[in-house]
Amino acid sequence: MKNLFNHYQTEPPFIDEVFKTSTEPQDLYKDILEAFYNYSSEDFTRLNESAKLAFLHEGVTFSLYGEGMDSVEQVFPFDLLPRTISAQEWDEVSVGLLQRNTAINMFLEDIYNDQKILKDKVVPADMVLSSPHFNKLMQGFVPTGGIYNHISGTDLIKHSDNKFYVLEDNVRCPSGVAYVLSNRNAMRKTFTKIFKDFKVRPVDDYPEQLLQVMLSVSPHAGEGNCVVLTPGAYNSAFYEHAILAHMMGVPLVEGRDLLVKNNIVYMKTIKGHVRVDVVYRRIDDDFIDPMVFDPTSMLGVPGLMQAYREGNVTLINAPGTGASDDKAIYDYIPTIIKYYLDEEPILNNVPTYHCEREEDLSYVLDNLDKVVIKPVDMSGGYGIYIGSKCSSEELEELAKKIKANRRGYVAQPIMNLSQHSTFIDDESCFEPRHVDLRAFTLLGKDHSYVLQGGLTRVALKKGSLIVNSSQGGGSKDTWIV
Amino acid sequence: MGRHLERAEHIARYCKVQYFSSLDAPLSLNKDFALSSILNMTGISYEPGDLDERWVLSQVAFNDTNGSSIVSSVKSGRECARGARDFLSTELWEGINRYYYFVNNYSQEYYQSQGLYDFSQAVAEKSYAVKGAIDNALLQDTSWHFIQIGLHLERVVQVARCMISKINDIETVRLFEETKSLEHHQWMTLLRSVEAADMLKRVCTKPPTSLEVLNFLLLDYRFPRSIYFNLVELKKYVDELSELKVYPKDSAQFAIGKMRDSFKYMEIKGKDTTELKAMLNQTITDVYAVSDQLVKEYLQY
Repeated sequence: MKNLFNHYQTEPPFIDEVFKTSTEPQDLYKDILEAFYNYSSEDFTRLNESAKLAFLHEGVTFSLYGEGMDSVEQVFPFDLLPRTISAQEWDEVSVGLLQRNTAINMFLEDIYNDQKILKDKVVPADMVLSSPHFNKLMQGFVPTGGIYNHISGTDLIKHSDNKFYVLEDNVRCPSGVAYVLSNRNAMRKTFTKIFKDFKVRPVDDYPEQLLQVMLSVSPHAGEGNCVVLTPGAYNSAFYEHAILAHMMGVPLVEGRDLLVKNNIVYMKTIKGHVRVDVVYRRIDDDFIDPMVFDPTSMLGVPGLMQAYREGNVTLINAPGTGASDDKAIYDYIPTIIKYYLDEEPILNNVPTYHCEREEDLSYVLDNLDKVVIKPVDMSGGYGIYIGSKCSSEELEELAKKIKANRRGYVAQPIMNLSQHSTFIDDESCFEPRHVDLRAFTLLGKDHSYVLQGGLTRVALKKGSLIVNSSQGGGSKDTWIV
Repeated sequence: MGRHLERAEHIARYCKVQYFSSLDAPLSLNKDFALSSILNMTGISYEPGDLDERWVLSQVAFNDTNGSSIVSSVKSGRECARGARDFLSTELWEGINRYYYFVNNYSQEYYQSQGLYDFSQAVAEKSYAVKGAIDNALLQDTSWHFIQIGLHLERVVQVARCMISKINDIETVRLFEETKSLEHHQWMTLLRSVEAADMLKRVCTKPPTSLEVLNFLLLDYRFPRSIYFNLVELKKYVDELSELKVYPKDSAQFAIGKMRDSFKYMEIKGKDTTELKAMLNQTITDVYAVSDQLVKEYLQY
């Protein structure tokens, strides 16, 4: 297999996590690469195909919205060379993740209740209250257990200074954890020999931990009936909804399977109604309750929010958490950490320019070709412009859009996302590709957990910085060793 | 889910048996005879000029605009399984998924030219694997009962359809000179179409008569593909869903009980082919009515 790296070229200034130079591996990868080199190229190709087939047979897919049943499901591209992070480095990142998400939780409780941070002018009130995700129905109410962001997906990148930076917080309905579990499953089956030699930290406990978190915030103190609420089989992340429900041993339901009676949520069964205590909802806020949000929603449960406010059911994550993962708020997270925890933030933020601020707007417009422009309220990598990749016409259009909606955009310098050796099918060899990492943190009542590693996402297109699956990205297993 | 999986298996087997039995059948039974039998059993409408072998085989197996084709049935079964992923075992889900990808990716060109046996055999084997996982790896709770109800409902329909199609064929062969040998050939083809030929030999010590074939496929209480056997199983599983011991006359339980008992005391001797076909068509209609009633009683929101 070594010959698959014969033409490998690192691409400074980007850090290559696997190779120091085009021929010399990083210290952390010396032993792993040696283990991989024991496989012939033919073996590797066969194993690669076998892993893809395994994904297909297991139904590890995601969907792109399209017409007709056949065009919708796609196997999630998976690269066999795992990304490896040292246990020491990861443990530091874990502490940082818990710190960050705990602070975000405290922020959410505050903005929906006393609003001290706003009154103290630490975060501009208007920025928070004008966020499209600020949910007025969450005001004056604290959910059971005091937790809002039970599940957080924090997107991390490694810059050319070899440090992890938080690129984005995702605390609405973060997705991707199912692929962490299926990637690990595929690696165990494909490279059994290598697994025996490396003490890789497990990830299989995630569903159990999630269930514990759900039960910890049940209205019935640690007990109760939990469900996963999905929009349905044609949702892009349905595989994840189904597999998590399956692994936790809880029912997967759609909105029409639930009803609310006397502010209590019930699941319809052929034996009658069964009370539901905790709902892991994978439906966006706008659609969860047509009585108070989008009245045309067919996906939600009428009366759910009232039941929630009465404390009769817990929703995971709480509605309104988007007010904290708004990209405009992102820049304030270090300040938020200091305010609530009186600690210096452990994880780094990427410098961010707010286009609604005069001086920031001026800088951004003068340097459009050197920054990344992001809409504050989108996800999945959509709506992002990488200035250096845009034509002058595109930049001109972009400038107009920003001026027309300054609150709607932030800009960040183009970060030098690290690269990782990735097998490129078309070239039948390994080449460097940009990667990021989505880390998953769980917060419950008196219970917290950080998934070991997370989902490494790869931008499969050469030179691309967009790693999202919806835009052609793939993934790797992430080993903490 | 059970219905879709059962349908695919029966169609694949009927198609295989009819086609291959026609290869060395008595001269009067040419390939067109087998092809029209296949189309009649599956309910695919056709004009006499459509009896092109490649067209027929392709319609039956791969036409995804036809809900009864093998590919449509497996796809539908897989979609049901995908929606119920939370309570299926991993082994069952993977079995259904492998089945789906096999059928979906099979070369139509190869199937039409020489792959019929391979494809049909694989469909049967994958169907058995899935059913094995259903019986051996699922909790036998309400969800499992629903799957069993689907399997047995569809089996009644498919066996009845095989029989109607064959009785039509037999009415045709009675017009030929070599009636006796042709008719026997058709009864044996029917038995092989439901994998009953070997089992009937254990019941009858000599070549079976038409009456013995009909009795076996309609009324035998031990053979898993007889209509009576499946009605008994159906009643058993529907009883598990309901806690009622006395059920209303418009309920699915009542309707199935009535069907089961009518078969228990049925006499076939003396019935001509017209009466037999009418009885089988009525059975299919009644089973569909039971299916609709079950949806109304248990699955409508």
